Amino acid sequence: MMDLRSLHSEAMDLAEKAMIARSHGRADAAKKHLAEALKKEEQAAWLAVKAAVPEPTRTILLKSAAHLAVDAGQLRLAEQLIGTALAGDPPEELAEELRGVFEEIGFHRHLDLRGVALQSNDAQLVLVGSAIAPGMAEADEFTSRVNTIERLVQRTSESERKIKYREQGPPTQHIERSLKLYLSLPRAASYAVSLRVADSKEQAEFQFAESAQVLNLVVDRLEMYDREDFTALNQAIPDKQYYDNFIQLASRLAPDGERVRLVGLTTMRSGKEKRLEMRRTAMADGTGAGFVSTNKPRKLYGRVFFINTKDQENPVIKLETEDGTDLRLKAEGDLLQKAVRYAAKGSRVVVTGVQVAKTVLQVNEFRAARGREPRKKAKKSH
Amino acid sequence: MGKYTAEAAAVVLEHNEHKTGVAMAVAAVRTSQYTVIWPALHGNAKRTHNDLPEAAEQGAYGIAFLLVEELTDLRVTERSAKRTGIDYWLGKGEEPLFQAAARLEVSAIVDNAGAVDGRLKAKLKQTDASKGTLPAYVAVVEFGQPKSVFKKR
Repeated sequence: MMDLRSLHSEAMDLAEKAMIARSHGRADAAKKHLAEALKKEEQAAWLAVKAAVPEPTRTILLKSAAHLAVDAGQLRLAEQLIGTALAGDPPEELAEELRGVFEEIGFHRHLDLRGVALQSNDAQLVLVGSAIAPGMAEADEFTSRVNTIERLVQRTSESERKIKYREQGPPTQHIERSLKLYLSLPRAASYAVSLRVADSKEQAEFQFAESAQVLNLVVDRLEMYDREDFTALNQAIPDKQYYDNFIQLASRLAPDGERVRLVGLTTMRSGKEKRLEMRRTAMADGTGAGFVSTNKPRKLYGRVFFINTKDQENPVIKLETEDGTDLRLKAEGDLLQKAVRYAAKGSRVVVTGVQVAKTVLQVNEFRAARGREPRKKAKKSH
Repeated sequence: MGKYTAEAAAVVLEHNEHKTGVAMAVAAVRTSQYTVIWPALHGNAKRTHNDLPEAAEQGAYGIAFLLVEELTDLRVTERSAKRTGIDYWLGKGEEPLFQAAARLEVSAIVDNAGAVDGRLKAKLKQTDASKGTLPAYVAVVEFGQPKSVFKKR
């Protein structure tokens, strides 16, 4: 019989091969390598249990095999491996991760339609997290996400119809009527419910109907958002206002990492299931993703008006530029010392750096501004 | 795997218009600069790594492997499966399987140097030592500037 280390090592070689094959688009090879990796890692894990190897080795091997089983769609095996690991004495950090994998298995099960028939204009929404119990969900977490999906559908339709972005007010009567959102009764999953985009609740649509097409676009774009593929998302939604709005709505729908850890949508396309698993937590500033940083340096004149070095690894330095914009400056070492001096003097400075976020400049150079202060434009009196 | 991660890193660096020989600032116990050099990318490299966030994650692992060898007396000795990927563990190579191994936690940013501190804090919180468990090293790799932070938790 092969020893534990060799079995595990071979399993990991195969798991890496599966990962590389997947990235090369060789799905069949990836599946084959994954199945072989699982077989060997499962053997290694049971061998470790039988030989009573000490922690954390026992748990790491069982957890590793469970992950491969989830990837291979062998959910029952994954449950058995996790159950065995938790029945031992895993370190708390790994125990928490095992519970996470267990929750993920539940999520996969709930994304399964299990007899629920979806039309092409339907979606199944699944939520998992501390605010969710089987068949019950905190009302806010659920209703806010349902409202967000309705807005995503309506905004996507408007954007596709090239309707000028509306700052406020309801959508057109046609869109409001034809793309209404209907809900089924919840199912006792983590929390699962069917949604229907239609003009009446009985209305199942063909896949070429607008409701089905828009729903597909929403799911595809949410997938790009979750993958952080903002280049593709920008191409799909070239209008900046619609793009920013989409990012904001997607952030509201996305998990928060604790109360709602996973958000899933299952739809049907040409008779096949399409699953979206949103895992990325919402961004604090939904519009931030729209900022595209470049390495082109910027030169700014202004005054350092606020400085706080209490958190030495993350000092807060604020610059008011001469056009009245506030920017946070990122500076370390000598540059930070200079910022402290300029803040104390209140003198004008010239800052050169790279704008790395909408309101953040990474400083490359800091110096006192020479010459007279530019005259401010006189304000018109009314 | 090393070749694959190196290629992924080069794709993301070139996406950010960097050329071989670009300087990368690395903040560890002290801040240093390293020169990142890579061979010309083959024709399919960009197609292979066309999912940029995924390429950044793989590339960040490649850079983190090098930082481990440069900045510690450890190396990658073990692997375990995680969700659609691999977890890497560090050691000296003499220990029994996973005994005394430190975990390598890696976070990748395609192009946003302003996000590095936040990511580092999130990673350190995620692997909070107060939960009383396994030692870990955290590497956050940002490809826009480019810069990296490497810390022991």
